[in-house]
Amino acid sequence: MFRDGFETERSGDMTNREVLGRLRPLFRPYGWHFGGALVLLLTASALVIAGPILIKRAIDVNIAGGDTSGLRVTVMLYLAAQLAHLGITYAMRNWLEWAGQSMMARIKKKLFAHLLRLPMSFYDGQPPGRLLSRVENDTQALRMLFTTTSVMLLGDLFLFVGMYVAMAMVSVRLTLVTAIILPCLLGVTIFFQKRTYPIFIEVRKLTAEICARLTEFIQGMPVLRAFERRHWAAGNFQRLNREKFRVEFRGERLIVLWFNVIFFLEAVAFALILGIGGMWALSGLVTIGTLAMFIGYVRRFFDPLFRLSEQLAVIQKAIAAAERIFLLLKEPLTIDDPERPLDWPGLANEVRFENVWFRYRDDGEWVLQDVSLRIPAGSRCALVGPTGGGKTTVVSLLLRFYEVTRGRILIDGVDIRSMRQAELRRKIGLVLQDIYLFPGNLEANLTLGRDVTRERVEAAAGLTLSNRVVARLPDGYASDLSERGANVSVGERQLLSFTRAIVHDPALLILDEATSAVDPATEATIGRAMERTFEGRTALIIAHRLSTIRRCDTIFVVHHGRIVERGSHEELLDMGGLYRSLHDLQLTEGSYAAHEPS
Amino acid sequence: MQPMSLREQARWMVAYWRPYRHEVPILLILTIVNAAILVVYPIILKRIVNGIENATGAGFLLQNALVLVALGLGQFVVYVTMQTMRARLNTRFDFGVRQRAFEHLLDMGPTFFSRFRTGDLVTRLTDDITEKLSWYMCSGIFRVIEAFSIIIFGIVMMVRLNPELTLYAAGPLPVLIGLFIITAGKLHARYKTVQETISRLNEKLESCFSGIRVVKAFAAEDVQRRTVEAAVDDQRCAEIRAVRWQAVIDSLYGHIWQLAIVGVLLAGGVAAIQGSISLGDLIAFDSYVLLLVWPMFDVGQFFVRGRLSAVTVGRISELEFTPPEVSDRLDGAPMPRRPDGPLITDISSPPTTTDRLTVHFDGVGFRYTDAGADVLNDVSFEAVPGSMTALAGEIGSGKSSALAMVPRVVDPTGGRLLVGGRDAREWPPQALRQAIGFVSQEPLLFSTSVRENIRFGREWIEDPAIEEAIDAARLREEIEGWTDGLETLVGSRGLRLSGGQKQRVALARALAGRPSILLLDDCTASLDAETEEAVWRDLLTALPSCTAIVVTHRPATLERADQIVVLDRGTVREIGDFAALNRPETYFHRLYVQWKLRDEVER
Repeated sequence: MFRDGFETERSGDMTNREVLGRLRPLFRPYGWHFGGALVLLLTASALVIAGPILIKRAIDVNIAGGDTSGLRVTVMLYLAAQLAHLGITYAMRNWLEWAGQSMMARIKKKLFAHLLRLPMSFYDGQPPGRLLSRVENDTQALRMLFTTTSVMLLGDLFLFVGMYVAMAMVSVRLTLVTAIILPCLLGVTIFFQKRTYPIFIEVRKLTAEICARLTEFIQGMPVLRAFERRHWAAGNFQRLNREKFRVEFRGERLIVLWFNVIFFLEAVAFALILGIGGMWALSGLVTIGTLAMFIGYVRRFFDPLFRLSEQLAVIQKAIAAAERIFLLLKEPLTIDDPERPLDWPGLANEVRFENVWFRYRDDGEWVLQDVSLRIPAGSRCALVGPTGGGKTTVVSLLLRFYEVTRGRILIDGVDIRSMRQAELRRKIGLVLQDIYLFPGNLEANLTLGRDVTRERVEAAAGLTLSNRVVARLPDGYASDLSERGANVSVGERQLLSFTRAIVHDPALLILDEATSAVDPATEATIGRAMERTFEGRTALIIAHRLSTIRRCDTIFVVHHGRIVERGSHEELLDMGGLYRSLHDLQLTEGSYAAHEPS
Repeated sequence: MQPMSLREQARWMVAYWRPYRHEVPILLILTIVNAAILVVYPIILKRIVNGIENATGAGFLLQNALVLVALGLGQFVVYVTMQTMRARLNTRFDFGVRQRAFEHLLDMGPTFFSRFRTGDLVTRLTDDITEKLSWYMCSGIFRVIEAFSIIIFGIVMMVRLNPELTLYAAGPLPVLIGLFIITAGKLHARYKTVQETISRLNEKLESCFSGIRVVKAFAAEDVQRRTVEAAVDDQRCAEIRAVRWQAVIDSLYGHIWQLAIVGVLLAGGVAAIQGSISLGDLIAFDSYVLLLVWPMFDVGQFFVRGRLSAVTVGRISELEFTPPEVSDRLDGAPMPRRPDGPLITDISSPPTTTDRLTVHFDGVGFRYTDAGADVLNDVSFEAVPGSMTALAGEIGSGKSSALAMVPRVVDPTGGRLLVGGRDAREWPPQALRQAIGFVSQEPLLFSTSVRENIRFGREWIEDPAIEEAIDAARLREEIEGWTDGLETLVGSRGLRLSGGQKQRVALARALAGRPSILLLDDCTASLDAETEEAVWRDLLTALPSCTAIVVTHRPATLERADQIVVLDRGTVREIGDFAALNRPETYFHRLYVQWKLRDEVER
């Protein structure tokens, strides 16, 4: 129902200077490209400046002198300048795009690599959509800054100065007349920029608000209808929608005014040049060609100004995006590999939890309290207990998704914190309640990048009975699994999950048994596959089914974060405690299921 | 999305234009006047230049310079008026399209919302409209009219000056439009490829972030990194390829008109040397070429953006053409709405019925689609005022669907549902729903204060009623603990409530309307036993003659119920009071024992 706040605003955790400081090293590897692009841009600007000069020459020298062949030369020069400009801008654009895209690709890769190393606790508070937006949208916003803005702003500055220099070289007095318009232009631009900017921030906020409210209303539709609050919702939304209309229109009106004031200033500039300059031309102080040249320049004044105000928005956006990216890159790796990791050859002795305490946050409630348990090599152990009691947490700690708060976890006497995470996890095979499928083919989903031969995969599939699933799929191991594996059934997914877990022959198998209901035949197949999978392996099972539990050597009953009972199935039944109640519950559910005609 | 023909698209837009039809002639006149002013500039330029050449005198020059300023002023007035009108219409359409689409959503039922994801609907109603449609609906259309006016007037003026030079000046321009339209398609294809690479990357990222547990558990970080890096590189290459085309096109557009300048300079220059045209004519032509460049872009843009807006119109009308499942349209002011129109007033008023209402399910059947499976089949029972009826059954037995039928969130597809002896479909929806208090399984609250969540826009509910509801829902202690009390904001920008707190706020919302019928959909799941017990006790004293129907699997609630209806795969399997049903041979007994055990184990 509730939606997280929209990320249109700066978080304010970093200063502009800090953000810019962190941006600089990103530019560095592409320094040559940006430098080269700048040179091209300067050349292009020079060619733009050359245009009106050539026109002046055509009018004053060639036409006035009646020199047809001279005119041809001048016009051909003009054409050549335009063609050169075309070529240069094309090359520059591509060059910049290449550099910008390459830089963005690097940032994306760096960001993603960093994200992969972040601990589970980081992911708990992050919806995938938000991370996606960091990697994709924020880097896009940054790219704009790299590819267009940074270079364009410098180029425009040069163009502006260059035009004034060219004008001053031809006629200082006319340049001074033209210069009258400049402070007006700047003043107008600053005046309107100041007023429109907050309005468009406001529009962005209102747009975000509209998104948020739409989301709430759409998700709350059953309640809106049940209470017949639809008119209220329509009115409520209308007020917000109208507010956006009002603010946005106010902004648009200012923009219209702004642009037209500038157009008007252009007309005034023409009048000044033609009126005053014309008078000077009458007395021979300037030529008609000079007037034409000045008009040509004045026309080109306005593009850079419009661009400037556009680019300011891009810069704001890019800096906000950069800040979010950098904050993410600053996210600490609270679980990291030790500098000199100890090797773990395989499970020889035991896995042991020694007085393990765990809570997610320092001020949070204890999730596990003083948990001690021992899984001898070659044994099969189970964790049972009500939902939310802490069974899954035990497994998460063993996989080192989280760091224990107190106590320690030892494998053959070695603290798991002194091993490499990848090393630790590679030797553990995890069977999840529901196999999580990645886009890609079946084989890739079974090996998950581990270095395993096809023969190994086939052997594992044979052992876990999933070879039938493979045989059913049109392209065997190369079959593409549709989104979230919709083309394999629940039961088949279970079998594939076993295969994935044992394909690399792990030293320890962890099974989070599925609770989802399947038909009895499938259930039997899964049971058989499970037995074959466990054969001769050390296993820890989060168990739900009686049949699974009964065969375990040791059962740990976890409740409210503590191990409340432990022992074999029979011992625990005799105890008559929580395990007994759970067992009875299962029996009634089981008998109920057995009574049901299917 | 179904592609829309130009005609369909036009018809759809005309509906929005209708309230503003009197503005069309004004806009047209302004457009033409604007074009007329624009094409006079070069003539004044010509007169000044010729004036200088012929040494006509300072007075003449000054006079023409003033004419230039006057033209600028005139154009300022005309253009500001015109553009402001256009901007207002753009933003009005933005408002109107969104408002109409939203009000249509309010008529839609559960099937519709299972078909369209929330995020998709939000995108259609925000970005799609703002970015691709509203500008096009007014500015897009009038800019192309403006462009054609300028082109036609400009060419007429040029022909009057010199027909031969007109060929040079206007010759490259049709090429520009043609090129634009042809290349836009090609470019579109390239950007589509870019979009595809982005989608692939997003898919990879999304699956990695969603499955991060698996990635970590299997130490598959490296392979994830490799696949994502490959996708990043694909995207990079596609973007670079697309921009390469974009750069070709942009460069061509940016320079083709320069050919016109070259032509005019060359042919015009020679003519000027020969004396067949004046220097003023030449400079005027130069200006005309520049004048025609932007209109040409506008014409091209019109076609490109037209295609985008057609897709958007298709996406919006796809929503609007879906008929409501429950035929109770929201009736308000005529559509489409204007932002300056009246605010939609909440036509609801205090409940008209304070009667005791019996709810009678009479052979009710329900399925979501005609071809779908039966969710409910021949369900009959009667819930009388002053009593509590419990609906019990496994997940998926149809309990929630039965409950949702009473306020007509869905309608029965078979049989009848009688409320107070009258078919629910014959009730005025307002009156029916105001007699009902409903608490859904998922407590849906809104991002506003606690008070507003409880009042829920029902202005007739006075503060004492809210206070009573808070007491009955056992919220008092918490609210007193919050610094802002009832004004505490909840949701995205406020306090994050626990599941149990949310449920009790939702309960208070239902109770505040003093309903004749109270429907609770498994809403006490997050409450602890004592709170739940207290809630039931208070409820019965607060609303003694209320008809309560409760979906539950709580043993304590079942024991308290006056009547239990046991549903099994959409049919009534057993019915009776607790004593009658709680016998070893019943289906209910099995459920009850199971729930009782679970209750004990989980506490």
